[in-house]
Amino acid sequence: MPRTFGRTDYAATRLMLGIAVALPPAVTIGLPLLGWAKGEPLGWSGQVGHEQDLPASLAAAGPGAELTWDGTANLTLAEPDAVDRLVALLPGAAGSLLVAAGALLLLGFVRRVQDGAPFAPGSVRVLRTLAGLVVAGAILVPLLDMVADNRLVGAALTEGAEPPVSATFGFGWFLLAVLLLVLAEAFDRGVRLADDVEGLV
Amino acid sequence: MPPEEPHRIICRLDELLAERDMTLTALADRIGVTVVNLSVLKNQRARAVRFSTLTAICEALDCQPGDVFTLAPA
Repeated sequence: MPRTFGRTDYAATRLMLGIAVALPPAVTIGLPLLGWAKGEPLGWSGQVGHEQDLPASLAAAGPGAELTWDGTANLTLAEPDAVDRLVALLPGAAGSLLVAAGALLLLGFVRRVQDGAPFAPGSVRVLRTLAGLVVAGAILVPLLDMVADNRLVGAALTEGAEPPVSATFGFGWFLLAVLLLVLAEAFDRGVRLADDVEGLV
Repeated sequence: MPPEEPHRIICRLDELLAERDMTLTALADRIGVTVVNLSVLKNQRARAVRFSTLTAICEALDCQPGDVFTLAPA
């Protein structure tokens, strides 16, 4: 049975997926841990919970235009404690571990395609699991961001200032999950069609 | 998986290969069909055969389709 990928394409695909497995956790977990070990200050970008017009001294709006600042601030904590560091790590770690898990699933999927058997029950499970990972990330990462924002912005503001409590959920991720489930259904039909030609030489 | 459809077709590929002192692997290499698929055929597990596969087998073994398949008595 002819291979579906050329040898170079297959190797390149596996390499890219391997990078997707290894690189995000290295960046989102490894680098912050390294900074922690070195005692570096903790940087964070978060919402301070206010929106206001941008002063003209910062950026003058042209005719018919309005400029507002949405409350995003870059903050640095000179002496963060362990909880600060861990909380800052969580959103990126969760996202990158979900991406790594998805890439691992895709490695198996690509191998199945390369073996000429893409329409197998395992492929349907991969697609459904990927949809689940996307939904998990779409809910978990904004919630962890909210927790981190609350903790770190609160630590940076003066006593008595109220840190924000809000999460922003991206509708696009849920739409992506739905598309993956639709694709899983199409592959499920493909599994049944492949069964029909099982034993065809 | 759909239910097996009963049939009485016997594939005599192993006999033809033995007569010609040819291995299944050699036949697979010659006609461009995988060993796995030829094994399915040889072990009576095939449910359908493409005309192109049958043509390639007959050309490689210098035989007729009736030499490859026979109908077992009822």
